[in-house]
Parts: sequence; structure tokens; C-alpha cells
Amino acid sequence: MTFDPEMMARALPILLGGLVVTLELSALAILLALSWGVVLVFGRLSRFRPLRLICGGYLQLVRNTPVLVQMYLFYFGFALGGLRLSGFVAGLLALVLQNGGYMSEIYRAGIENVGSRQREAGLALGMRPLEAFRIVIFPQAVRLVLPPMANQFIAIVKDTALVSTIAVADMTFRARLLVERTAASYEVFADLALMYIAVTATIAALMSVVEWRLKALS
Amino acid sequence: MSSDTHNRARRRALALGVGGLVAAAAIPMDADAETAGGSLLDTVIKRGRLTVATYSAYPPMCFADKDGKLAGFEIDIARMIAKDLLGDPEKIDFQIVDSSGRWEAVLSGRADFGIAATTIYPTRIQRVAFTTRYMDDSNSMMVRKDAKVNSLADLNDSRITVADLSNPQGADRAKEFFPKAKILIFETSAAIFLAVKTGQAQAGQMDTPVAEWYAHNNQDLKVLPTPLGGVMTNNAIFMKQGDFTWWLYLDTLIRDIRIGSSYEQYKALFNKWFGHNPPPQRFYLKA
Amino acid sequence: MPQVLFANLPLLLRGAAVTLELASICVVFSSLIGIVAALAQSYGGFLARGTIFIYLYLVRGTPLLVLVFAIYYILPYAGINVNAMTGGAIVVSLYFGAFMTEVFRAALASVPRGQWDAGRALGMHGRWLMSIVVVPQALRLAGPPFINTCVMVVKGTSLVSVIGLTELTLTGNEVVERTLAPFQVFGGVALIYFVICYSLSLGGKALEVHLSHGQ
Repeated sequence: MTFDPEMMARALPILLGGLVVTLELSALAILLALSWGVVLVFGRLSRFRPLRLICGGYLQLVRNTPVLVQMYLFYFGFALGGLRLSGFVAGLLALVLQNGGYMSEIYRAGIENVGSRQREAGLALGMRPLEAFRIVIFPQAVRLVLPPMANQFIAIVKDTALVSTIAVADMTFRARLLVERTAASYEVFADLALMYIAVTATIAALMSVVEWRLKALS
Repeated sequence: MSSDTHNRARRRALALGVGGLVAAAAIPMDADAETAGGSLLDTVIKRGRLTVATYSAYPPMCFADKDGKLAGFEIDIARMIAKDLLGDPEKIDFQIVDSSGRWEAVLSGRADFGIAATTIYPTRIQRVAFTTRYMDDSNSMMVRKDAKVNSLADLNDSRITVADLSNPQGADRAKEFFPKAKILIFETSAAIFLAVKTGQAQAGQMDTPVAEWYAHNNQDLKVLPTPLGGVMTNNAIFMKQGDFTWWLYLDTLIRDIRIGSSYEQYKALFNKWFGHNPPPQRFYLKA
Repeated sequence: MPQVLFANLPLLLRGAAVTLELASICVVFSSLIGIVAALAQSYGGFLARGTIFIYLYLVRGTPLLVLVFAIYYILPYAGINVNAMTGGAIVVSLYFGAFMTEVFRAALASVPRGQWDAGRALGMHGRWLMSIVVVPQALRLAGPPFINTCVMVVKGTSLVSVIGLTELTLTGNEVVERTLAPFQVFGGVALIYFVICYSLSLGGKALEVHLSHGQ
């Protein structure tokens, strides 16, 4: 079986069409997961016990079930129940529910690690609790959470590949179709892997820059 | 293939992260399937088991029944072949493949042949060898009765979503007959059926026998009368090119099943899965 | 009453058995890869560290789904014919081997310096030092992230469904396509995964508590 580098070049534009969808889905999933994570962490750290339990239960549910199964449920299940979600939306929903959960845990770890002593220090200096949070805890927590957040962003980008199974024309979907037409599995999947690595490496680099900038600010 | 290209290819394969696994295995040159080791015919007989690539989600041709076992018209045809070749219809292993993986399965030698709702098309003949047809085929549209679609022309509407299979021929037909419709692509007929049944799509394009089976078993679905393009095609067994003895055996056997001494068994299977008789053995005989 | 789910439960449980089989194989192999790679990374020469680096970079930057497809379609052309279970095991093990590498590397690095010094003070050096003093502590420290990765392995096996392995997810798909009861069936499938994964993490926590008592 020969390996045709020229085929790799020819396959690239076709896969690039799917890159737009992948990036769109990734960006939306990241933004929504970040927001949903904030909501969840408030619930998780609430003084109201039932709320804490519900959020804790939700977290256990999403981290112990595969995203793929959730996507199938949202795509086929909801449609049969009358709510017809597109593959993109069903996939987005599954990604946000899962990764929002992981984000909230990251936030929680950041907040808790900065420690109650910092909060007390802030209060001792005469700040109100919310102020103490904003000025003392939050900046330190942000620096702590950036590395795991970067990892989570990369995980989100990689998980977008799953929507190819519910008929969303992302990079992975187009790659499979192309392989079916041309049998050039080496070349096409090499391209695909390289493209994902390019995207995830870019995110990792961007996050490193952000971390570095934040360190410079402190 | 020059040694320089070969070396570059090997380094790239390493870089794919498969690591030592791929480096350790030599990438073989294309060779005749019928090598010094003889034809697959002898190999299979010596091995005592037949390995066949097939689908698992194309009722009634090849699908998983409620116990998870593979069943269907094509499964039974494969068993007929195993019975003739090895004396026992159970001496067969099925490799479940999907639409894009079926060619690799036979080209790489993982399966001795494939029987998987596969239609003969010119581009495919370049890559694999086909026997004569074991059944007629065509493509039809399975539609929801509540979609108020009664003809192909009705489908050509931007408000309609059609679920297609992933093969290029289906895409070409979609472009020809309903370019305005939105298209969802799935890997299996069963997934298309699920998409139509749940309302994600109003119609699905699939092999006529499969569409008819689903419509027969679901009151809310029907099949549009015209097969797409009015064209009939051939479903056939496919295998790696170059092994003449193996091809000749399978081809002759299929002919015998379809129009020869095994016709009665063929007729029984046909009725079992499709509910009507197959075409007569000769055009000059009554159906 | 989820009748469809109950009627098909035996079938789904058979799929779950395949999932567990695949997951066990992958946990074993990915742990082996992880331990070897972590040791090579920390103590190996330039070539070893470089190879591990490339491996980690490639695997962590590529989706598992893509690797599943790629290896399943590419290996046959390299002359290696595998079925879905073997191909899936290879891919998932290689993929999570990278995660395990990080788990063990972090564990090795977290062993307090004092332990190393104490060992050296007692006259130990090299591999003997490591095996008696460091590795057991590293293994204990590795416990929670190791269990987390095991849960990820179980969830990762659901992707092998796309190459036709009749594990739990594919079995669920087949049942849904036949019965058209996606809520019951996918709900049941999710529940079975939940039971497997949650038990795994609970067991891990129990193990962690038990092991730390030995200190």
C-alpha cells in the first residue's frame, strides 16, 4: 500500500471545510461550559444542603456516563419525544452538560485551594466577604485553575469529534466520507490527526500565553 | 514504489503515534491474492472456517436479531456457501464492518469475501472483484406518511430533511433528485430508519428491499413508488482481486443458487425474508 | 414500567460484559505502558524521553474517536489483521497509556524528597532504592488519579462501538433501532455505565482509605 503525500495535500481542503464546524462547536461548548460551570459551583458550594446534594449528584451522573451515549439520547431520544434537536445542538448540549460539570470541579478546587485563610486575611483587613473574594481569592484561584482549564478546553475540542456519529459535518465526518470515496485511509487520517493536533496545540499555546501574562501582572 | 518513498512512508506511519506496532510490521507490496500459497479456496477449506464481512444493521439482509445474533437473507446465503464449501453452515465467522470499512476487510485479507448489501458500481469494480448478482437491487425513498410526500418531486424542498447513507452514489442520487432538501448522513440503514422514525428526517434513501421491510413493519412509514432513477442494480459478493480460482468458485456457486440446481433453496430463502418469489430461473418461464 | 428495557436487559448486560472485558484489558495494558513510560521519562536517556514526549503529544492532541478509526483502517494495510476487540484494545490502551504516564509521573514526582534522602542515607541507591522506598509510595499516591483514569477507560470503550464491537453502547443502539424506545434503552445503558463507573470510584476511595491506614 503506497503512501501518497500528494493525496494528503488534496484531502486537506476537504477536511478544512469541516474545521469551521469543529471550531464553532468547540468555541460554543467552551463558552457555555465555562458559564454553566459557574452556576454549578455556586450550587456545589452553597450553604443550602439539598442544593449541594443535587449538584453533587449531577456531577456524579455526568462523570460516570459516556458522552457518546448522552449525544445519542439527546439526538434520537428527544426527537422521538417531540423535541427535534439538530445534531449540532444535541452534541453541544451533551458537551456543555459534561464539561460544565468538570469546569465547576476545577473552579471548586481553585477556590478551596486558595484557602480559607486568605479569606480571613481579607476579612481581617476590613473587606466585606464579596470584596475579599474578588480581590484576594479570585486572582489567586484563577492562576491555579488555568492549567486544568487548558486541559479541559483541549478535551472539549477532542470530544467534538463525537458529533460525527450524529450526522454533523465536522472534520471527522468529512474524513470518513473521504476515506470511503478514495480508500486513502493513511493520508486522510494523517491529515485529520494533524489538524486536531494543530488546533489543540494552538489552544495550549494560547493558554500558556494567558498564564504567563497573568504571572507578569502579579 | 521507490525505496525513498517507502522510507518516507514508514517514518510518517511512526509519527501517527502507532509507534512500534506499525514499525514492526512490514508494509506489504501489493501482491496477487493467489500467491504461492494457493487460492483462498484451498486456504479456506484447509482452515475449515469461512470468514465473511457483513453489516449488522440492514434488515432484512444482514442485521442483528433480538438475541443479538446475525440474521438475514445475506447471512443465510453466506451460510449456504459455508455448507457447500465446508459441509456445515455454522462453520462461518462474521466480521461486522461498516460502509467505509467493508473494502479494507476483504482487501487486507481479514475476510475471505464480503456480502453486505453491496451494489456493483463502476468505481468499485476497480478496487474489488464482484461475483454475479445474488439479488436485484435498486434505491427507494422511505418516507413518513405524515410528511405529505407523494413523489420524488415533493422531496425536492428545502423544508424536507432526507437521511442518506454515506456512499458516494447515494450522494449523487440526492443531488440529482432532491438537491434542495437538507441531507443528514448516517452509516447504516438502521440509523437512517431511526432518524426518520424519530422525526429527525422526513425521508430516508436506502436499498429498496430494506425500505420495503421497514415500511412493511411500520404503519407510519411508506415507500415511494418509483425506485430512484428507475434503475435496477445488482447486489453481489465482493472479494480481493486477483484470486481467479476463488472468484470462479463463488461466482459459479452464486449462479447455481440463483438460476441452477439450488434454486429451490434460494426461492425458500427469498420468500422467508422478502415475502415474495424471486425472479424465475429463466426469462421464458413463468414467475 | 420500562418494559422494553427489562425485556432487553439480558442483551444489554451481555454488551456490558464485553465493555468490562475490553476495559480490563485496556486498564492492564495502559497501566503497563504508563509505568514504563513514566520511568523512562523520569530516568531515561534523551532518545527515550524524546519518544515518550512525541507519543504523549500526539495522543493527547488527537481525539480517541479519530485514533479508533485510523488504527482500525490502517493496521490491515500494515499486514496486521485485527478484529474489533483487538483493534479497540490496542487503540484504547495506547490512548490511555498516555494518561497513565502522567498519573505515574506525577506520583513519582510527589514522593517527598525526604524519602529519597532517607533511602540514600541508609545506603540504598538506584533501582533497589526505588523499589523498596519510592515505588510503593508512588503507587499509593497514584491511587485516586489512577482510578479516575480507569473510569475514563470504561467510558472510552463506548467509542469502540463505532468499529462494530458489540459492547454496551452498540448493543444499546441496536436495541433502540429495533424497539424505538430510546429513553428507556439509552437511559438503561447510561445507568449501567453509571453503576460500573461509580462502583469503580467508590472502590478506589475505599482502597485509598485502606492503604493510607497502613502508614
